[in-house]
Amino acid sequence: MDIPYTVEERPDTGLFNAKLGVWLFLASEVMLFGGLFSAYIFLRYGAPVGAFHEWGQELNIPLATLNTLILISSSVTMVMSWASLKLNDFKKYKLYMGLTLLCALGFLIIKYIEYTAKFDHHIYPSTNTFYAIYFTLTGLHGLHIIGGMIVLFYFWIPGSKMWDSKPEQFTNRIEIAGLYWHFVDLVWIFLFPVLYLL
Amino acid sequence: MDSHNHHEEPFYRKYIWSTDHKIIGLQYGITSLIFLLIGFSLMMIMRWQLAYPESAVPLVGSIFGEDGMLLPEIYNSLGAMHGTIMIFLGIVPLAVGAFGNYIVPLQIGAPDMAFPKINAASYWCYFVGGVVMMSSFFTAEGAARSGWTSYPPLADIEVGQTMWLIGMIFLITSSLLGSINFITTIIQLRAPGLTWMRLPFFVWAQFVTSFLLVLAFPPLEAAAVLQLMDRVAGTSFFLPSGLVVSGEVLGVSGGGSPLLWQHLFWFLAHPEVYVLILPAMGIIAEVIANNTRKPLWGYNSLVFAVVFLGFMSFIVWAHHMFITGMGTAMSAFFQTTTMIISIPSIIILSAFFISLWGASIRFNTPMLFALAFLPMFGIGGLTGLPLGFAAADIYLHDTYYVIGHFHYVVAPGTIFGLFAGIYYWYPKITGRKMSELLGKLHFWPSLIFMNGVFMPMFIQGLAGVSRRLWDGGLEYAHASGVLHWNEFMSISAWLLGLAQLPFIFNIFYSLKRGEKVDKNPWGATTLEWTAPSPPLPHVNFEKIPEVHRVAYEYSVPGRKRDFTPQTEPKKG
Amino acid sequence: MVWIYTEEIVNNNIIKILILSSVLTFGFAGDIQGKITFDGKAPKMKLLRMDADPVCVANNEVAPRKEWLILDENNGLKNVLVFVKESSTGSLAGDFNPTENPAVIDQNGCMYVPHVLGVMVGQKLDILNSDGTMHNIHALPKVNKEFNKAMPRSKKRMTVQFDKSEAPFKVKCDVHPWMGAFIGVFDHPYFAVTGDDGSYVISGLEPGVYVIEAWHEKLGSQTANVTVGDSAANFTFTKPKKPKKK
Repeated sequence: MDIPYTVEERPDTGLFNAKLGVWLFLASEVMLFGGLFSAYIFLRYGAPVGAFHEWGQELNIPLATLNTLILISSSVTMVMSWASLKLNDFKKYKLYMGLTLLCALGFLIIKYIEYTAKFDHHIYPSTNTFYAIYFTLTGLHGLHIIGGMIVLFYFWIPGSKMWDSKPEQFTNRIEIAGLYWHFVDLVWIFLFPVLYLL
Repeated sequence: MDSHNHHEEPFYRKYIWSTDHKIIGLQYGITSLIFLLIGFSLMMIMRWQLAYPESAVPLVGSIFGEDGMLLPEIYNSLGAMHGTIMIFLGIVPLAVGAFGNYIVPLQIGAPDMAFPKINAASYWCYFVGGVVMMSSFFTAEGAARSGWTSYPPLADIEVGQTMWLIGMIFLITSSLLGSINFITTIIQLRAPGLTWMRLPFFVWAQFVTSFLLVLAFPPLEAAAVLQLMDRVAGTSFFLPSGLVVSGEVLGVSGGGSPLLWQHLFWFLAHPEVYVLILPAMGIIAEVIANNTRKPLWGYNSLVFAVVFLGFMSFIVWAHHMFITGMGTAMSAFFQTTTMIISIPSIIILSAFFISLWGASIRFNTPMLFALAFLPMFGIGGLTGLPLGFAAADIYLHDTYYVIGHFHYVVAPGTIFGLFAGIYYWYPKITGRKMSELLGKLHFWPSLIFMNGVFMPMFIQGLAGVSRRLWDGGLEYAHASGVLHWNEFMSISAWLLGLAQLPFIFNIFYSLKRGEKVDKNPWGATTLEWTAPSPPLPHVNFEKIPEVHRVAYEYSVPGRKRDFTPQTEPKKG
Repeated sequence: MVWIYTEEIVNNNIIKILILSSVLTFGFAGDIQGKITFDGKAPKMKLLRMDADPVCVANNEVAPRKEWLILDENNGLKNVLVFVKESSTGSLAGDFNPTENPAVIDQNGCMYVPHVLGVMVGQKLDILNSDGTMHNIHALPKVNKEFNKAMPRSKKRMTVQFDKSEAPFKVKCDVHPWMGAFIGVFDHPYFAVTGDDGSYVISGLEPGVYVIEAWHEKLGSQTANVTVGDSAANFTFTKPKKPKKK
């Protein structure tokens, strides 16, 4: 007796288990980043008027814009990889998944450049509350990217054998990995204006 | 049944790295009971200092130095760790991890949890978190000593807190993995015919609890990350500018706010209170329905009340912060929501009381605990009302009154509920009943001494004795009239400790010598009693049951038996 | 010959110049003896307000004053820590075992006795509580491990030791904010604290050339070169830089 609805949808809920699970996980992630964003608001409200804006002037907006574009592109390729599986095109899947990973890597490299530039100017999390929340939020987001990359890499090379044995379940896995990836993307889309532009 | 279920698994696969929800439930249960014992022991040591200040602690005093005295910093550590262990390592894992894991899939007729591997991961995260917490006692800095609430700025600068935060991050992860699993399991794996309003109340309670965990724990995780940053990376999230510590201005950038922590913390910790109580209420509902041999009174209102309770618990948190000076408008809002949230609690409690009306009650051990739960939780709940009013809270805040209040909720409340659950489901887990005689030897002294410990706290609290004093308040004239209660409370606490011995003995004794029973010894209606005792490894049921009825069809007039299992088809 | 300091006494908003002169002589070879005196207009030490803790008031027959400048009738300055800082002949290089006798600091009348103290690395330091009230001993070293321990009234003794040598650091009580003491930790036994009349003795030195330092909690520190030889010789602390006039 296997656990039901691991692959097929339960008729009355219209979901398979993992999809519901990942949505719940994302709900908790919303609360996690929600907590941190409220901390941001709290600290900004407590800082002298205009201080957050002024402290944020050191940030590199062109690089961050580039990063935003890269991450959005990675979301697109992520969808394409899932769609390729739906269309039974495994080669295309490999290509798009590889591109997604490449984008993620590019994002991290640019983030690394930004971080080191800050450290070179002796800007650390301890400098002021703006950089405290900046490094915490972007650092945590970066960890989410790295975690996502590990999962995606697994599905790209070692885990892709599953395509031959259980194609439907594999497609489901890519779908929920994609949901997570879009969420991480979405978090950045909030982070970018809040930290860099406001 | 698949053939691979038949072959014997090696010991470590079966009992250690198991993915079977029953084994994981037992792992949770055993670990958390041990932690409850540890947490309780810490408190028994603290009570020595309160009863006989500045004298050598007997038996274990040598741990604290050659003169055996409990110094204030150790007392603070014990206090902080008592709270942390009892809540995060004891009750939540027992109520949610153990009972939820073992009982929920059985009650909904599922072969296992939806994600067995994540379930195992959840237990091992909890285990690692527990190990980190306990090992902090043996580090050079010692264990956390800033209270279980870890308020900054103290928690930002006091030693021992880093380990606490790392431990908490593991525990939070464990709870998240577990609760995602519960919700998915309950939504997806209900047996055919088990509609929402046919669910046993226990499942509803676990369902709402899991939602509280999923949504309330992440803000604490955020807060823990921020506090960790404060301690490790030198940030000032919770440190205001110009903070003076030990006569010197702290060398940090400042600009943060200790209130930020309190908001994030209580956003978790108030729902957490309901995480502690709801599973116990669920157990009480099962035990009462079974032993009154009547349908639970007002099942529908119970369900709506518990869902409403879960929702409301997210918007009451700042009633813990009335004295922070957040303003009367905020206070007014939060005391209003606090009064509103007492309504569903009272609905639940009333429904339980009314269920007793006119029943021929079977006074077995689980039922005794369930019956004791009702007035004890009632005292706990009602004494909370004055704390929900800003004006009264200003006087009572941080006094022993608060300690008395929430211990009435969680100790003779939740823990009695959990005891009831252990006595009630023990036959399902082992195939044997626990000894009734030992059970009663456990129950009656526990009831008496619980009240002996916590009732005088109201007296001390109303006299204004602060909860955080190492010497219990010897230096304060206003406390002098009520300090003689300390000895009484301490002796009650140690006797309460002794009263747990029959229980511990009973668990092992009944494993071998308990009365052998069939799969439904209590004559119960819910699905878990249709599975063999113990349920089959990995699959639970010989075949997935089909549900035809609501959860509590007891003593239906005109039927041969006084209970009708949910699986019994309706005629015609 | 003359030791000049500027001292801002913020409370009075007046800058006073305090002059400290020292006369140091050799008694016989191997010892450094001396006397430190204070020159200038001595400010009056303020009374300590101890009424926060009635036990502290009761434990003092005479109302205690601040302790940073204690002079005798000849302006001998108490509580100056004098120690050998370095030796050009390498006589400090050997391993010195810490003395068996523990150093003692007592909390008596809600004051630290002694107020300034030198201990050796690894030497036991007994912290006593003679007061019958709750103290808390909070040491603030930079090199050694900071500690912060409560001493309830019934905790009469606690023993600590320091693992590394360190310039004098502050020790305070978080319960009684006026309490303060200073402890210097040395990896050799050549240190002394001046007594009531400002005199001190550092004994047992091998012949050689030494730099010694006199350290005072408010007036700062001053160094002097001294040769320990067969014959007695006088020396003085070197003249300090020009005082800044504000």
